[in-house]
Amino acid sequence: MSAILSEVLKWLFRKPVTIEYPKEETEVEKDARGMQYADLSKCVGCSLCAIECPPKAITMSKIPEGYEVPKRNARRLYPVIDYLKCIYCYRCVAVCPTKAYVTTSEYRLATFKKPRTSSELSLSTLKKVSGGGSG
Amino acid sequence: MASGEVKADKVVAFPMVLEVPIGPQHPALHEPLMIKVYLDGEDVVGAEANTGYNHRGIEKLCEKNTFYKDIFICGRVCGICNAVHANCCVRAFEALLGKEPPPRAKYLRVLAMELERIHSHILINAVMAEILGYETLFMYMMRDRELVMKAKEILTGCRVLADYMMVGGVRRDIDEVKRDRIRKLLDKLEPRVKYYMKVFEEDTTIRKRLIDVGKLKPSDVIGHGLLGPVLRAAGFPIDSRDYDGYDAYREVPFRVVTRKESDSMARMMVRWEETLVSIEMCRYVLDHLPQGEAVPDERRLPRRFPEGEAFATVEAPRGELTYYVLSKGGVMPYRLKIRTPSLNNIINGVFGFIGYSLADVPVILVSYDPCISCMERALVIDLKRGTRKYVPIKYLAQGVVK
Amino acid sequence: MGASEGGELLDKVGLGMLKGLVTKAYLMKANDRVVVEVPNENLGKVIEELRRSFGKDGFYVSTVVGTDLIDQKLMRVDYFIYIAKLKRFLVLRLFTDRENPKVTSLYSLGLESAIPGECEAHDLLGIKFEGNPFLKRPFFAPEEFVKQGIYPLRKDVKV
Repeated sequence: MSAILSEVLKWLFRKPVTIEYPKEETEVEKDARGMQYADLSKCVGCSLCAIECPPKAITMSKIPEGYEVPKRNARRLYPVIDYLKCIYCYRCVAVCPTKAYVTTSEYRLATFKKPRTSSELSLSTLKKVSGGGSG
Repeated sequence: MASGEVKADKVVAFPMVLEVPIGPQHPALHEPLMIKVYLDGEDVVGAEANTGYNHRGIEKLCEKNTFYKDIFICGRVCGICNAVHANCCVRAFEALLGKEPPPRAKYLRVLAMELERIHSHILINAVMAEILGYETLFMYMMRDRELVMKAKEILTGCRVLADYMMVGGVRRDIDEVKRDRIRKLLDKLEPRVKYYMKVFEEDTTIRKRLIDVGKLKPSDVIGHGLLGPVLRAAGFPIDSRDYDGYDAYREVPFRVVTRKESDSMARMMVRWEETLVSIEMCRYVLDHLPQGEAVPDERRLPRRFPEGEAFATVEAPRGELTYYVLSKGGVMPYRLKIRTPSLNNIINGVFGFIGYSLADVPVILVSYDPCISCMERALVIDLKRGTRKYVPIKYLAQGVVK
Repeated sequence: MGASEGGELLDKVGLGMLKGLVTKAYLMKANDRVVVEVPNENLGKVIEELRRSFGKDGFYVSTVVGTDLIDQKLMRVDYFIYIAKLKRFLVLRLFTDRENPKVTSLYSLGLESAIPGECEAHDLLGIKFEGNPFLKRPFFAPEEFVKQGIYPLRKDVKV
């Protein structure tokens, strides 16, 4: 006689436990390791995150014209994370000397258009300078 | 005697041996492995294992990356036992540097590793139920395993890949709220584990297919170097947490679980009892966490490591896992060697199939707990599509970690 | 027998019977692992002594590590043996020539637990273990390397 018969009868008339994902949300912790990006008002452009990244997903690029960059970032460099190469180990977050990384718990990062980078999110932390760039 | 009729008084029988390949792609295996069994009728008379479908070149890759990047690479050798791989790597590096982590970090490391042991043992028992055809039980066990995955997510930040270990401690700390949540999850889990243990002991199907199947003699087991629960189910109390006593295992009370029968049922029962012992250990850790710092400042860790060599062992859910690191100064290791328990268990364990019938082969194989990607550490891609591409390792070595 | 502190170390840990057969004995850094350097011809006698003291079921071969020391033109093979009664690891260290590396296999001395480690070292580094009938080339390495006859883990091979 099957030993789990009592369990089966108990669950026969209950709702299944499956979370039907696109219609219902899964519960994710607030500090789960998800998408991260650099807050450029604190970044100094030292490139430590790019050096220490294990899959080499971070490249340093120049901040385009039209953004007001704080004085400590003299070379006007900022880190761009390629989310499709990133392994979300958060080594960049831990190694940054000015604690400039913002972490989220966003994990829905599959996309059709590649590459998917952190460039817009990082640039949105800077103020735009209207009418011709300054410095 | 009528014409055309022959009376025979002797029959000569020719024994013929049929060679049956199991794998590389097979519904009974979860990863590619080729096992050739030689059959006489339905009984297995010989077996051999061919490997090489899953080799990823991790040891060569680790020689080209710095020590800290190697911690993350080695954590991705296996998805199920990633906390223990990272822990062994970190302890080998700490031995090279001569550093000791603070007491609170040691207790938190024990918590992460024991949670991993619980979920791995529930997984292999669910796989055993699936192999027997008992899909309902498989689904129930996976549903209860979700409690452990949630506990891992609360502790480390990710359900599966816990990048939790770092030289000098752990990477995150826990506070009172998280402690209570993990305690509640463990309280919900314990009666379920006891129930499943009772099911395995009493259910007629499971008893008929597991008892006296794959019985190994104790001298064969240790002579061939099988490890982990396979060794402990043969009566040897050899456990890496006991003889090495790393991290906080000398302070957290635990007992080594052994059985005497050494058949497939004994191996699965050793795993269930170890799960119960692990739940006790997790509760002890949560109740007795020492105060202090647990997270080192990663910006102040040294980049250059001194010369020397270190050998670290850890008790993975599958057996004894060893790391050997040789450093000649500088920022990259000269040689890093990983020996996973599945290497010994699978390749040396094929002698256990002999004498049993063909239908017992998946049962015996799953009772060894094979983790083939742990075993080989090299690369094959796209098995799901049926094509096999050999990616040259130079693309791997450029730093794309898989 | 080499330096006298090696002999005292072996006595202290309970392995004094190996004193006459090894050239050096020391502790691996910071880990309490006892390392003994054994010349290749004495390997059989060392295993016999271990069997006599601890019984056939008292120890097993845990790990086989091959290292390519390209600067010294040597290949080094380490056998890590776990002895259950002493609760300790013993490391047997053998050196062999890099051009034609050859070592006596522990399988021929009756220890089957060394087979997977030796097969892997042969496949990735090219060390021949005499007396091991299970060595074959495509064990772990992919087929292109086997066809070209190169051993992926050697230091002069760029992959």
